[in-house]
Amino acid sequence: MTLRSLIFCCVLLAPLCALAEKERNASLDLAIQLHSEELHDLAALEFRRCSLLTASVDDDGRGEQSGFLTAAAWEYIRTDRLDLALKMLDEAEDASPKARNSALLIRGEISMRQRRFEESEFLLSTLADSDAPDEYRTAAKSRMAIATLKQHDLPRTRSLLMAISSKDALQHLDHLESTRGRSPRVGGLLGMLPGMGYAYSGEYANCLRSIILNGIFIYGMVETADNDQWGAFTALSFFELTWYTGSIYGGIDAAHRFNKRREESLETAIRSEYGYDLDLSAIPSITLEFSF
Amino acid sequence: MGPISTNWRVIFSFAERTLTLEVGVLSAFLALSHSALAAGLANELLDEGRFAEARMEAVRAARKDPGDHEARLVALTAGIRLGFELRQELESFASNKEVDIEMRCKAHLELAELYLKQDKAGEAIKHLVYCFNSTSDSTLFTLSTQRAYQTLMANPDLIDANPELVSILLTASAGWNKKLPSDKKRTAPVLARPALWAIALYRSQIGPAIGSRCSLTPSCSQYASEALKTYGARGMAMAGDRLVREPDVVAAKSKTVVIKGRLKCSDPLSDHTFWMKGKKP
Repeated sequence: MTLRSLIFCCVLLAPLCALAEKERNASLDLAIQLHSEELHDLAALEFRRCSLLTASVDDDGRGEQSGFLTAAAWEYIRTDRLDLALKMLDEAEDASPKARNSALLIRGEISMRQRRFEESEFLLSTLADSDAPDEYRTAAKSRMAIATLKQHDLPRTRSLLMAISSKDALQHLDHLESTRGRSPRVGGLLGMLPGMGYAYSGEYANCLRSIILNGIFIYGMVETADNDQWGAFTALSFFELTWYTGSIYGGIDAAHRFNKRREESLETAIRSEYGYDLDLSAIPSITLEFSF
Repeated sequence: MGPISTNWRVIFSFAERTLTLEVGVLSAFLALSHSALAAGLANELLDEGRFAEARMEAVRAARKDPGDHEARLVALTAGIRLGFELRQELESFASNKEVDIEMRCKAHLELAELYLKQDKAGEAIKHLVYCFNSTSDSTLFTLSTQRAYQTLMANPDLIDANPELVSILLTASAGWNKKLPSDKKRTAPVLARPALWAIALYRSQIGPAIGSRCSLTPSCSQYASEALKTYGARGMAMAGDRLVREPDVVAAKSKTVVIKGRLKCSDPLSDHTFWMKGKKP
């Protein structure tokens, strides 16, 4: 009688379990294909489906769910859906503590993209000071260096780069420190003389265009005023106001752009020296591929 | 030995029946859980505002299990938000007695929203009243009473036709702990309006005649319009700066994207406001 029950169980349950497994594998294959086609939003959706199709009765099941959710978060970051990426990371960490290290690293990156640099530094320092594997801690320190750079704390950036012995990035930092940044305030004040704000930040073509446009419209205003053509004068004033205020605003923005470009060259150097990526071929296991 | 073996046989028989029943229940659960999970994912996507994906998931779940009312409701709701004409299907869903009452209430709320969009406040009120009278879900109750209150305030003639409804809603308002969502559209600051009118005139009359000429995305007129709406008169300065910078951005080709088969350079407003405190586009 017991044997009969066992056979009954096997006959009924085995096809259902196999069906679930087959569906999950099909979803996983599709997710990886969508990723390779750079359809990251749809790939994330498939990873989420994989997570739902994974039974979570034991640690292995929860670990697998966590892996799929981390992959979904990774895909959402690529499409700039940061809110959804954070939601997926929350769920991944709830499913299994195995996701903690990668989740901290990814959260740090997300905070940086949201321009919340202090928060990013805090998250990354949590990982850097933990007992996580060396690669994770080094990657965290490299990203902390970027977060401190964005906060204009160059001494701290230097100490972090020295801690990870990054020669290339340190050279870039030396170069950055040797060149002067541009003051947006000075840029704005110089912008009151049309085009000079752009010239202050090295944008000479913009400077020339601004001078020409302002010159033409001011000349037009004077001419129309002299000839009592007040309708044309009003229209030209409206446009001249746009060019003139544009010159002041452009002076400020050009200074900010200049400073941003200086920082970006160092950031690019750090990111290329300490790169990492999620190994999708290992999913559902969460494996970060470090390239340093 | 005789009575003992009989007892064992009874125990075995009982164990077998229990096991069979458990396995049966588990199998049914496993079979149903697939579509339930898909419907769950569809619901999540609907909450995230990703209507196309939500509809796709819900339709997939509904095809697997035609009796999955939740999936059907999500498919209909997502379809309506995508602009499909599904009002009749939603109405028949809402009046189907076989469907769980809470889901029918959700359908009535969705129908009310649909009628409100079509300026049929009278019809919307009927569905809202049904929803808050029938639901036992506190969120749904709050949502439907708030929406009914807003609708009545916006349509004073309905107050005269439903005097008792106002007192019911005022009683319900004691339970509202959230601020009412505003229906007001974002209005541009007064100083920016003349410039916005000029841009609107350009976009509606001149732009279509001369064709898309801007090599940047968003186009200069879109950029100026966005800047004026977000930053008021300061947006004019941003527009002026954009027009001066355009050739430089095109020459740099740093962020190229393909839009409708044309190569364009991306230069969003956010790239030039990251240093500003306060309002962000």
